[in-house]
Amino acid sequence: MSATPQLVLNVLATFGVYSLATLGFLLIFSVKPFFNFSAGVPVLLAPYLVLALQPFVPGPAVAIGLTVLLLALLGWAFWEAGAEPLFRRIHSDTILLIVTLSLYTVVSSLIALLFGQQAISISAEDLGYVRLPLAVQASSAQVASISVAIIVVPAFWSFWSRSLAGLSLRAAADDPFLADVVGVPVRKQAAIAYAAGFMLLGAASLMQATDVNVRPDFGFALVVVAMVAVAAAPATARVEAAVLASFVIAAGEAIISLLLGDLWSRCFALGLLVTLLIARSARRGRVRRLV
Amino acid sequence: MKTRWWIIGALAVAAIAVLIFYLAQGKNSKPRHLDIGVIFPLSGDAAAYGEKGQKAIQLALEMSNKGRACGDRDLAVHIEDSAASPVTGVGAFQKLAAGNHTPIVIGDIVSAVTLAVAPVAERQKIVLLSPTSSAPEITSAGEYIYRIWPSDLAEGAAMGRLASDRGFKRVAILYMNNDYGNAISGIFGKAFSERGGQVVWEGGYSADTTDFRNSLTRIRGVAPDALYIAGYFADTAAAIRQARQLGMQQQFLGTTAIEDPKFLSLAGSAAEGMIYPLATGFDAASRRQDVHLFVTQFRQRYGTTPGWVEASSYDAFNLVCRASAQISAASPSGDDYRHYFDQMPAFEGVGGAIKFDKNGDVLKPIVFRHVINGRFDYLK
Repeated sequence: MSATPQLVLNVLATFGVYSLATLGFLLIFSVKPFFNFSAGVPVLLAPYLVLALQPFVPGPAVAIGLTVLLLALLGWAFWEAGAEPLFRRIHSDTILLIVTLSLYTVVSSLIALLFGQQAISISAEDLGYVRLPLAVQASSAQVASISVAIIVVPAFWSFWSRSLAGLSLRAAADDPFLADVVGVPVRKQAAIAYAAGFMLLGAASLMQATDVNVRPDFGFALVVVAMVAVAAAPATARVEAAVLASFVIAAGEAIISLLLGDLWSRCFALGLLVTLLIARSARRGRVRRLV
Repeated sequence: MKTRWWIIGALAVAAIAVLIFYLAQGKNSKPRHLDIGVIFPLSGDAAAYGEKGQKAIQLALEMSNKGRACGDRDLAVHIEDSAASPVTGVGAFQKLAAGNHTPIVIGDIVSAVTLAVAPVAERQKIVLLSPTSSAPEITSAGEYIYRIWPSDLAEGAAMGRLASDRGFKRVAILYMNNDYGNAISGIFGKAFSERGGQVVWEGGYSADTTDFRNSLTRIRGVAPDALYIAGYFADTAAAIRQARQLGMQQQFLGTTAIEDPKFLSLAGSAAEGMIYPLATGFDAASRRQDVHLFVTQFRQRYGTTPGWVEASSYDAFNLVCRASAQISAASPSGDDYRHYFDQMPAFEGVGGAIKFDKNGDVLKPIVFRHVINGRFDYLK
């Protein structure tokens, strides 16, 4: 039995999750471009919110829908009460990185206090699987992540590249002062970007969490992948390149797992990030020397 | 001459009076205080096990202090978190040694931490008594290192033999990349191969891995008869669940570590039929009086049934309690405990008899269990 068709499906399912997380992070990154670890908060909160809501709502689907909406609300509130005042006062990306990383750690510790350190599962019973040709089997969560990615990625691309709202969002991201002068509501755009970004990150988290165990450190790896994908993309073609980068990471992890084992595949995204940062820093150095 | 006898008589009476006074004072004296250290993983990858052990120790402490089971000793337990990390574990041990001057430390649950702490314990002549560490290297970790859990050599080899006896010819091994997973999977593979079996695939995963699908897809590709997973309960549950989603119908084999009610809820129906060994004589359903008392008290206090971690931690504390009662020194040293453990008669714990060999190891029979109708039961 060849493992290749199954591996291809695994890559597509992982790509589905990664692409959603990447688009979510791209929105947050567009407001202020730095390694914003507050993006890890919705990823971490989403499965625990579903768990907390489940006893009070008719079914898991309702809990998932409500969680995604609550995360959008949290994103908006976070922008208004946290990010916006912080960005106004602190201009150093390094300090912002440390502040947001600390925030993620605090939320992680709070979750550990409330829910304990033990692994949990948000789907109490197996949700079933789909048999496909070539001896391929896909779990319901894998099918969902591929389907959602097929719908969301092109929709996001058209919104970002073709719509007036997307254009103003990009304008606000490129130069907020100029955008403000020409009448773009920059603050409102940023609030929308945070709400939608938190929503997409939460959705990606839930798709991943359905098949795996969740612990209070859940989500960090997913956020790193999203950061690498966005950082790898040039500003001129950000959506296409970021989505492509998330596919490269998903495929790269599978290939490394195949060749070297799972222990090495986990280093792939971080390795890519380090390579990117070194390459960029070297290029900047060359430009400075030319000047 | 007469005066001399009078003086001797007076001295004898005085000596007897002093002796009676001394004995009476001793009888009415307060219990002698003794600090005992505990290092358990209360956070990190093995926190689930650490929390269980902590509960059992707290219960054992209360029960023993209430019943004066530790003789005239009043034991105080100081628990430190090792976070299942060797570095944190060594720090926790040093804190207990320097801050509380404990002559004996119970811990750790995780082999990697026990192995890291062992050289420090040896240098400081403090006895380290692990309730559950099973790495084979602990056998030669030092004179002050004891454990009441059998070495992986016993469990891994027994599981390898069982796999062969059940007629499996080709087995795949998925192991957690830590001291526990590496050791037990290697021993299993060796025992299985020695009986003519073939290990067709072997691969590791890190402690925080949650998605096993790429490894499992490759395992599915080599079509083994059985899959042996050498890990803890949460990762084993995720792996077998994903394996079933990939359509794998092979027999799953596991380790003692999976016997936890959380494993059943995390793995769901995928756990059905999974076989694992149990390296302890503890049976919560036993009618033995001491076991019944422990299980009842534990249920009353925590609302759950104790498992092998709780039983072993409870036994570790009670063994220290008995040793403390038997040692006559006012402030026992690590050497006092070492001498006691080396010469003690078998201690009957809730997990079976404990008698150390010259390396500080114990021998316990291995039984096999499986998951049947959503619960753990003995394999017939």
